[in-house]
Amino acid sequence: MFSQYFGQYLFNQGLVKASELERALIAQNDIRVKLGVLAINRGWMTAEQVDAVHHAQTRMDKRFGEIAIELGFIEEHLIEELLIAQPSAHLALGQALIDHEIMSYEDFAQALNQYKQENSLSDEQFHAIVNGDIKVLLEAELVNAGISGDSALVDYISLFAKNMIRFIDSGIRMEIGHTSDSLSAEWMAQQLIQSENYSIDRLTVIAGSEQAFLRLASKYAQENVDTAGEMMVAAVGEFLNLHNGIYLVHRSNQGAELNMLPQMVKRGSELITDSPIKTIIQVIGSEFSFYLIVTNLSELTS
Amino acid sequence: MYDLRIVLCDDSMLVRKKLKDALTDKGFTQLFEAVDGEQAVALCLKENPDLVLLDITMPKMDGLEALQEIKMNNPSIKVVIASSLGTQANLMKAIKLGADNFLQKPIEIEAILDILHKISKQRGER
Repeated sequence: MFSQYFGQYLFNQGLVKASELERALIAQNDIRVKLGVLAINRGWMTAEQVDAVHHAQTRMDKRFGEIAIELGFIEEHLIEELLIAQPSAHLALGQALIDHEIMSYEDFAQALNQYKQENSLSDEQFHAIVNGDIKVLLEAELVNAGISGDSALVDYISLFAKNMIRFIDSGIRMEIGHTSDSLSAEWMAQQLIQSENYSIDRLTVIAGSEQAFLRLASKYAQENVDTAGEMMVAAVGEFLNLHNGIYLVHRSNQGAELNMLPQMVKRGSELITDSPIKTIIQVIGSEFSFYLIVTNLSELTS
Repeated sequence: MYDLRIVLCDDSMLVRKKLKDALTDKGFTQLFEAVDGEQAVALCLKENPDLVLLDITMPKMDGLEALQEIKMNNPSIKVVIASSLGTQANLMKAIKLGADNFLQKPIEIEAILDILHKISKQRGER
């Protein structure tokens, strides 16, 4: 789950090209993360030490761990710990970048450390992201976008990311943009979320091109949707409905009871909303890109 | 298993299709579709099903209103709320109105099969 964000960081920093990142994201699914990358990630070996072990392996028929212990770079019990560790997705991406000679061990180690520092993440937070808690990372991004204090919005966006990964595409990335007064798109799926007493409603929208809606529908429905008909409308609308339902359950668990109206999917509509757009997020998958538009959800419980 | 009569009520064609395909695969042949609460209530009066699967958020009449009417007309029909909107408030409302189960979307077909198996057993024992 972390990999797409780390990959996005590498891309944004110009450390990898779009085509290289795409190649690595595809390759990571079939990659076995090796001990060198695992050791660098834990900070137990440096990139130079990993390179030295690999160099030694060209001269002697021994395993990575054995050589690393013999050279005094790492203790045996730490190697054992690495061997039983469940590698995280961002490490698979790192390994793919290294295997494809897009990055060296040194480049990977530097980028990883730089990434941790620039996002001001503590080791604990970083561990949480690596283990799938993307909320921590999104919060860091939302700080940069200036909307981190809005817990209703932060919850909405992080849940959306999780639901995208769960139901649509494990390789998505999200770019949090600025607010805008209006927006038009070829297709829009809209749903209103209402306050407990039904007095306030706020809009949530998925907006994009017909091609994006077709790909999104195909992924969610798990069948080929190639025409902008009933199935496309049903699939994109149901995904938004499912996500909003899960969000309302999440809010309910926090003591805020909200309601929602049936979703609508329309072609060629211009977004009209009673409340200002709070944020526009570009959601980029392997085969599509669309916008998630959210108005001020915190007002529903104010 | 007993070939039960089942009403699938969801405003999403995708959800109805997925449920219908999965239940057809398991050998159920008496499946009826409704796109909103009003249609579900009318279908229940006409077809007297063993089970109704009801979404909550639907146009015209929502699932909780439909639940109330269906149970009022025929309390022996089993009603399962199958919704993404599994909030505490909705769960409480559904229970009060006599819902027999509450499934959170995305719906696992195994959960529905478990319920159908129990109903089938009850019907067979009569």
